[in-house]
Amino acid sequence: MSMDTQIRVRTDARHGQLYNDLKNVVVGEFHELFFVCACLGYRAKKRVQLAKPADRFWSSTITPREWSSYYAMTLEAAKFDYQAISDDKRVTGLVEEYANAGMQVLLSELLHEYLLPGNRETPQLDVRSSTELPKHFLHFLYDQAVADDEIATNETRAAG
Amino acid sequence: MILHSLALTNFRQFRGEQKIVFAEGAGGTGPNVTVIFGENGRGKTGVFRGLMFALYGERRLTQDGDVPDTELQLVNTAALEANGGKPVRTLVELDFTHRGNRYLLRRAIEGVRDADRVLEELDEVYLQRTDPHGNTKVVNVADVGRTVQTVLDPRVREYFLFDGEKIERLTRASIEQRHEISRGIRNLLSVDALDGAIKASAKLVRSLDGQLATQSTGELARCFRRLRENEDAQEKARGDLETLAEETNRARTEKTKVDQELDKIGGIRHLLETRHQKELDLAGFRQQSSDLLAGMKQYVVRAAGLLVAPCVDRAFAHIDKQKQRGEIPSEIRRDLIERLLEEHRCICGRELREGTKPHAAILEWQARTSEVSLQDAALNLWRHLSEVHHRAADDAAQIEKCLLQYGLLRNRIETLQRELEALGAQISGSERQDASRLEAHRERIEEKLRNLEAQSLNQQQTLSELLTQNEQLKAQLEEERRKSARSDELSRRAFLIRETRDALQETFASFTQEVRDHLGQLATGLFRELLDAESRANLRTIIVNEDYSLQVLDRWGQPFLANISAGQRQVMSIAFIAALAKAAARDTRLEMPLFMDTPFGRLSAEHRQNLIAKIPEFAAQWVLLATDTEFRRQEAQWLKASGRWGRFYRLRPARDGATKIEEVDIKAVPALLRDEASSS
Repeated sequence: MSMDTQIRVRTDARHGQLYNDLKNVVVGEFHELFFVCACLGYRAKKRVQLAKPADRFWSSTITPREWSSYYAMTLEAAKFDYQAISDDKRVTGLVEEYANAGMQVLLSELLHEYLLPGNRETPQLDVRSSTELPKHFLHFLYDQAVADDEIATNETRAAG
Repeated sequence: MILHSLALTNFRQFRGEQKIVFAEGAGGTGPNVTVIFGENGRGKTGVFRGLMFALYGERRLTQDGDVPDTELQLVNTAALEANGGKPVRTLVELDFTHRGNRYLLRRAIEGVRDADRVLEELDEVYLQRTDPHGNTKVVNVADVGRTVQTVLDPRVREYFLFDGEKIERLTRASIEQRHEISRGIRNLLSVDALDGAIKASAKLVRSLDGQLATQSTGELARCFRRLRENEDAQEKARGDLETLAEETNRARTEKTKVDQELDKIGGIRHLLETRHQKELDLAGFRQQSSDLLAGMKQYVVRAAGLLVAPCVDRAFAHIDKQKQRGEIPSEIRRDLIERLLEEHRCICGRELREGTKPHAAILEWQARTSEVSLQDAALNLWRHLSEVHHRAADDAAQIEKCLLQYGLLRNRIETLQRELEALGAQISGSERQDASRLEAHRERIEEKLRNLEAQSLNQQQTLSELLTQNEQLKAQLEEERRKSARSDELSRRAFLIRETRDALQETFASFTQEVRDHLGQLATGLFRELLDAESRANLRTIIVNEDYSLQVLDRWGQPFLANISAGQRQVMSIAFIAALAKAAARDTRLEMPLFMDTPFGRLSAEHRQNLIAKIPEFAAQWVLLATDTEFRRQEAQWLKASGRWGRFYRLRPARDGATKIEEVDIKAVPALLRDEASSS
């Protein structure tokens, strides 16, 4: 758990163009988009192996807050065995799979309306029709968080 | 530049030779404020016009709007009448110092009455410079303009010599104006010094790449070709953007003309006024909405964080529980327990046999402890998770507020759009045919403006895509060059010059960013000093954008420019000017006068008091043109208290309808002024 700065974090090569397109439109940096995808993947309880891994950014750009969330995800996946977070490469490896699954969630539930027609294999954002995408993106994430919160509240009530 | 005197002879309202000697603020602390006082129509703007004419030879001021040139007569009418048809010479002479050199600048025109009109012709331009050693030289007439421009760049002159009522326009400048202003500011701050080097290196890159492209083969040659095509496309996109900006400017001017024509038609004026106000509101809301949309990026990551908040909470709770149970950091170190088990001996020295109670207790301790490094890591993580855990509720509240605010803004925009459509229908449905025709023309212009805006956005996107593509192509080119193992002299030079250009560009970008941040900080400090208490509570920070346009953030860090009053805009602009003067002078005092024509009109009493106390401190020289309604006994008292008030001139009506400039002793000034309590 040293927040290693020397790791090349990877995403699926097929999402390379999409990462480039979404950076600047909805976030400022690759590591931020990766975090969003990882959180979506975790929420969906899905991990998908990278079919064709491609280096995307250096781990030095990951913020302490993002690292903390990645460690929490890893700990939970390892049933709180601290050994699991002693190797940052292993942590980013696991999170890459969550992020890969998260990008698939994004594509199927939000981005499909904003893609250029044609190449499904390497999707590309239609930037010209994405003026309001930051708002839809934020809504999409926030609505899910609110829904989760409501479910948790109801479960607590039911248990109480 | 420090102004010494301005002499006006037969210029506008001023018949014969009349002179204003300015307070110069000797030694940086002496009196540096000159007040030129007069009722409306007495010639305050005439003094301002005289200064601008002397410096730049311009007859027209921005506030002249659409007044035809034929109506902007500079020669004094009474002098023309008295001269009985003979020509009259009009003269403006400005005496000033700049960077140790003393200048005498003179412009003269000759006017003659021809039937019912006055013909005016430039008669003389004269500039003499005396250096600090007393050597005097007359500047070649062809070089006068250039010499004056080095004293005060005309692109930023409105920052120092301005009409107070119009100064708030600095916060509303159009894209085209901002482009010019930003170039002027960069020049003033000496930011552009690097620009020349970047352009030269870029030219060299193109030339060397061209040579390499002709000498290369295969994939390397293709990379060169694609890079060249990309750079050509970028240049074209930039050119197209400029053309679109010019077309937009023309369409806006045309729309203003149509509005002025419509204004002349009776019966629909109230509709036009309502529409004008609603259009201003719409523009403000659109700006706010676009600022809010851009600001949403910062919330996206926080919103994603909320999705894993339960996981973070569970991890936090797990470690916290272990902490409370004393398992981390463990009471007994794992290495000690392992040694005891290995040596089969307890700390007290007794033998530790397997199967006994003490042995079982030690085994239990062993199971509960973990490696020291892992314990430290867990504790460290506990601290980080604690922060994340505690920020989640705050993040959720901010995101909700942001989305709500955006929704409300969109509703307001849609309502205003519907109201504007209805107003347009009412105007074009007017019984007056000319109104209907003009309204139809206006709608066509609006449609054109919408198209131009869409095309411009499209071009900006194209440019942004080309820039991204350019980065990829450069990386590919380097890869190909490496593969082809080209290491000849030409290749090395091309590589080196490209690296130099990129480094210069990076330096330029970070330096201009620093300059803007610094300007923003200085302007914020001054803005908050100048604001009244109520405004200070809400308006927090001035942001200087990339094109040097301004934005103000409210207490929640949200853009608020569209909501501030005209008076607050005026104060904001003055704060920015002061910051600019300070930054240009490298945080000392810029040797530049502030020449303000009626600046207090829209300001509250507290704002006025603050300005009167602060401006003489940051400006090297302050020339204040004020009316009897904005400069009263109260303002005079505040100015006197500053200890910087040097001279006072009264513009008095003379018998022949002209204006007499009369100096009054400061002690005698209060007797001339009104006594009412100042109000906004």
